[in-house]
Amino acid sequence: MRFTAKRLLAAVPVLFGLSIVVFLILHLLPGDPAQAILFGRNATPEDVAKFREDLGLTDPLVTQYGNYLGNLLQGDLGTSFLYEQPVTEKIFGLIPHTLLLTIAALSFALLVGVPSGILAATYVDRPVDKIVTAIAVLGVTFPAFWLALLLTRLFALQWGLLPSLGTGSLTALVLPAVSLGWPLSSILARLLRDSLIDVYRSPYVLTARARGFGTNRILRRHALRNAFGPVVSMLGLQFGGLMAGAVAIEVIFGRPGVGAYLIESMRAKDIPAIQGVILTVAVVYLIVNLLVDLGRAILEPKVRAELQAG
Amino acid sequence: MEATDETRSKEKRLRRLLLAYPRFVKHQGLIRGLLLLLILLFVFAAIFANVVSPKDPTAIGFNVLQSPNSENWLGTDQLGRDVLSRAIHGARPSIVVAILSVVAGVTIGVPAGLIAGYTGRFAGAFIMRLVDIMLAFPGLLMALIVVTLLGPGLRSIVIAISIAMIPWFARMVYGATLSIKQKGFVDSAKTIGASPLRIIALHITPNLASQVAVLATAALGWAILISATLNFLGFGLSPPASDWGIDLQFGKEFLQQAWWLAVVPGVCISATILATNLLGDVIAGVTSRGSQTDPRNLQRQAVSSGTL
Repeated sequence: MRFTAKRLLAAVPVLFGLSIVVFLILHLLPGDPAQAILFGRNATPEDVAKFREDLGLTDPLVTQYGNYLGNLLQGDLGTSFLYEQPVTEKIFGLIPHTLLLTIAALSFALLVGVPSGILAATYVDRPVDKIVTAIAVLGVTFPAFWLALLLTRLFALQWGLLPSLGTGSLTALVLPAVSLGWPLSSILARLLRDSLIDVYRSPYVLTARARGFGTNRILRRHALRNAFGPVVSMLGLQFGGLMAGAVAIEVIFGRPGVGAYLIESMRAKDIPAIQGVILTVAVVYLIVNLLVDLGRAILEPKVRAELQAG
Repeated sequence: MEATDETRSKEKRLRRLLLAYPRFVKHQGLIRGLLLLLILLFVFAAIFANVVSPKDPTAIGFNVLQSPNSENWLGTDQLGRDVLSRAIHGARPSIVVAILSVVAGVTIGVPAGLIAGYTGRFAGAFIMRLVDIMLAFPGLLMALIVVTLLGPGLRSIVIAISIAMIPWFARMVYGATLSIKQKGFVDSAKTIGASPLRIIALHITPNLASQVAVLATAALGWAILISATLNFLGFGLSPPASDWGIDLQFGKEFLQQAWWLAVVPGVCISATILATNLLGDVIAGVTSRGSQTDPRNLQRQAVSSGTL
């Protein structure tokens, strides 16, 4: 419990810093933000001045940040220039789509990566191991968006097995989830393999072996739990990557989602929307990593002690 | 007879499991050979693009969307340009971006980590909080933000990717410095009156150089990937330029009629990332003291998986 509180407390300065960085995005746009935003919209100088007033850009920076933070704490991310609609509303509508895609990709990665990792570690240096390792080495060289094109060409256009666009059915989720999850499944398989091999060499596994326990029992009761530590850490590290990778996947498959919205906003220089999406993704990423730390602490007593001490 | 074979094979398997065997001793000949060939191929393509490519990569022709044939070995694109020539020229931006951004990331990230780790105290805490904040954004998002702010172009891509990389190097070096700082030889150096600068330069940096090298190699592949992603999403170079990401974007539009448009640049991206990953494995194998599942190695693996 104390550990949880400590981790939560440590996240506060980071959240605070995040809000500053995200706030500054508006001011880091080259030139005058108001002019940059209204560029190409036939704005008269009076329009620009009024717009600047509306945005509060005439106030001192600290006041502006204060207002921004105040709104933020009330869950108000501002109004989208593009849709003239509250950004918070828009993001809340889109987040379930992105989370569904990310979780589907994660599940795929675990479903494929974990069994292959175990298989490879159990039959180290056998053909199975070599095949798994080779596929895993190749797997990480396929960025999600390139794999997505390849799979679409084969499964949707060539053989017509799966839909390449839309969100209607569950089958429409297969190609996006597999493209996004494939590199992660490769890395998980390799990581679990290496981790299990390490654990298999440890004294307690030797003891278990000496006592005549079978491979299965050793795997289930002793090895897997300990070998999973690095895998869980990696999942935390990679979750942000999955959300970022969802950007390209959503664009390719024409899925609604936070990533597709981000790209649209970036093209339109819709600053409140960009700020909102980035802040949301960063906060979700932070929460996931917090959960991962807690998960590791539950999984491994050693980590619990370390984290508590540090 | 069978029973003895069974026992023997079990014994063999057990021994294989138990014996600590260095991972990279096996197949290193093959890996090294493949790796060297791939890297040479891409560097060669990048440097001599003008000489080796059969056609002008931007020359528009009447024969559009031709499948691979004797005239255009890898076919032509929607504007009749030679796909092979574009793929060869596409090596240029990728390799330039990769090298420049990793150099920039190391040049800024490593000193930041050294200062934070060695001095501790206020400056250290400040730098590391900053690193925490930067790491809260997934790398690709960080790069996207910077490119949106700076506008399109090669320079923006390099700056964007190096900014995303700085915190990795800073964090890794910070951790390494903290542990090296406690070693006896640092104390000894202090006792004989060595200045902090001297200790950092002569005693700490050499001890973390190998780790930096390993992460930097992984970062090369990541940079190529992110630059391709930015270009693919339309935030990188402007279209007449040949770049694998841009070409892949065209390939997406003509996926049904002309598969080679997507496959050629895609394979180039995969092959380059494979080459840098293999290079990273070899360097890690040569220099690594810890196991691959060591927390310090996780970051590298995450990086080389490209999804970070």
